[in-house]
Amino acid sequence: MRNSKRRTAWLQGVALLVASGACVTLLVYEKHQPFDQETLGILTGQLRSDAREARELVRLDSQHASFAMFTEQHARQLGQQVADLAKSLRDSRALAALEPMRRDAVDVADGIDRSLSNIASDSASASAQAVELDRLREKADAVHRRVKPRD
Amino acid sequence: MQILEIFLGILTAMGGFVEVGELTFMLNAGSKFDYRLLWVVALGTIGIMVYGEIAGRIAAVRGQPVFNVVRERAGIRLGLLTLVSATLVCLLTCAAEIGGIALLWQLMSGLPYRLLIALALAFLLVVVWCLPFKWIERVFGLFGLFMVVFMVVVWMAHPDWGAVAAGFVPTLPEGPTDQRLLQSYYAVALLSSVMLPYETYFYASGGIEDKWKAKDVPMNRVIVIIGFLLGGALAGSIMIVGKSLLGPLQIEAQLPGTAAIVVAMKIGRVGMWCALTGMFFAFAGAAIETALSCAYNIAQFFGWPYGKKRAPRTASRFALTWIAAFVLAALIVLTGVDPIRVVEYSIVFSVVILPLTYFPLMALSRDREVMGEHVNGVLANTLGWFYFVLVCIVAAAAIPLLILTHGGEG
Amino acid sequence: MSTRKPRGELDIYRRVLDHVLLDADGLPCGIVDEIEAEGGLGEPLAIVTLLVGPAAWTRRLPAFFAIVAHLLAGSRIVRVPWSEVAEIGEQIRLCSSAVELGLGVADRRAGRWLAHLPLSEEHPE
Repeated sequence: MRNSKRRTAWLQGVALLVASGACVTLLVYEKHQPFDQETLGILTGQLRSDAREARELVRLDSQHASFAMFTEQHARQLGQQVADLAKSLRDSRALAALEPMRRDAVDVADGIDRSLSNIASDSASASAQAVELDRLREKADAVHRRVKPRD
Repeated sequence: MQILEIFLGILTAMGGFVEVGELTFMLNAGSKFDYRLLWVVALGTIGIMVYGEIAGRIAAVRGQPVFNVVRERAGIRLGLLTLVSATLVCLLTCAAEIGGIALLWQLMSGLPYRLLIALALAFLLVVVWCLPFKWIERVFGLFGLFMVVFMVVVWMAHPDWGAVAAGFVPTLPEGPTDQRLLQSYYAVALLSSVMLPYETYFYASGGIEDKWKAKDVPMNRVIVIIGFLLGGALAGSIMIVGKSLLGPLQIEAQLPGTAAIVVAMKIGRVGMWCALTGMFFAFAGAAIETALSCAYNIAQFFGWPYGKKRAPRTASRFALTWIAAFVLAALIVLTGVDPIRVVEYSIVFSVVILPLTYFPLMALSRDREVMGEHVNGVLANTLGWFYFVLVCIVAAAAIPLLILTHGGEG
Repeated sequence: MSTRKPRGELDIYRRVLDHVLLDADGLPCGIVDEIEAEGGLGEPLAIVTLLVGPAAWTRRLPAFFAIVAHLLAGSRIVRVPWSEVAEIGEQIRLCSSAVELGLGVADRRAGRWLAHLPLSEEHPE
């Protein structure tokens, strides 16, 4: 009886290990796949959103609808998000047809990150970033439309 | 005096309804899908009313909290599975709320994020250790009512009320396959975020702490129905704000600051401060509820003495458990993981454990031998079983949808 | 819905197993994790002992999880004689205190730790 219980325990433990290993393997495999239209579209969609949010932050600041500390710190948090997104874009390649869009998205992300860093160090520079952020927002829209024309 | 108790209970239930995950899901659901998912918020609100009422009634009539019932009716194996799952979900939600508090404090102070996590941990530990249960409930619930600023924004945004009303009519997802899958995922996530299980655990445990008796069953009903209805209205208003203000700009909320920006767009600095204050108390309240829920669940499952109304020395393992929950949650978010992503995943996983929680509650509440005259009526039975079947279907769909939509991103 | 300790038939699965134990002072002191009964084949079963503690509930788990739970929760077990049961209701009330029965040891040990912290003896209400 004790032996059969031990055997059952072994089988259950091995089954659990195999199932966990399979899940981890699948996740790692997925992570290392090149970007396809769907997965690249997710990142360019987020980039578009971040660009628009950065522009909105600057607009609110210029209308005194925000306060200096909030503008700086939200720019810092948003900038961190954009930097993480840029890193994700850099760390993987895309399918051949999408490679130019991936590289453009990296450039746009770096540009937004630079603008937000300037605002984060001094909210008084927010209004000076407006024109640059408008340009970057249009570029982000254009990149996303090239990746996902239906969106 | 009882009327005051009921009034405060209702306001507390409303103010404590929204937490960081629900906030971002509601804003993004509105931004991406207009008003098409309002019916899900309504459906979920009725669901949490049904099970909140059942859990509160069991607590009042039998003096038994949720995890006593789970152990008794589901047995040790299924009960332990439910306990481990519920504890993990509560822990992850607590971690996200602590991260959310740190992000909010950073917006107001500029201090480093990791330092603010440690300060948030210290703040929560001191508050829960020193303040009586009633004070914790009232302070965080009532100050969480600053979130009503979102309802003010709705009124100022002048939405198309006809379209809003149409949003309460259930519709099937439309458009290309990826959009339909994403809309289905959001429907699952919204339902789960409104019916978060820790709300049931904490509500029933609160009833035990307040020593509810059978005569308190009507009060339980009033608080649950009106309080959660108002909370659901607040959640729905956040979705309407998402549609009205973020949708046209195609902005997705990924940070608590985005919610403050949305309010500032209509009300300016005053609105921003109200939103930041409301969010702080809502997130802190949710952090406290989830940490205490971990402790309540484990103590109730293993028969330990428990309760915030006992001196910590006489409910020592209970006290050590909520302390450990806060510390572990802070450690999780100190690893640098995005708190919004953490809570989004925990919300989806929490719907998977809902059937495990709800079945024992239904089984007990319809047992006349045990509940006497307070057994489920026709309405409670019908709605209870309807929602049980619904959460089973949603639980089965949750993980596949999470995978197919690349973690809810598209 | 509480009754004094019933005579005659008792649904031990629905009324005893996995129910909270309260000591003579009304303090929760564990859960009925397992039951020992005696009686041969064809004879009436009589409950002899209530078992409380990790060593009792871990063996009700599937084999692998029983081993893991045993490693995490320990091997303590307390045997509460059926004669100590005073009342069976939503909870099971005992005749003696938790200290006399050897229940709640972990809570008292943890309580001595917490006693070093301020406000640990205070009733917050």
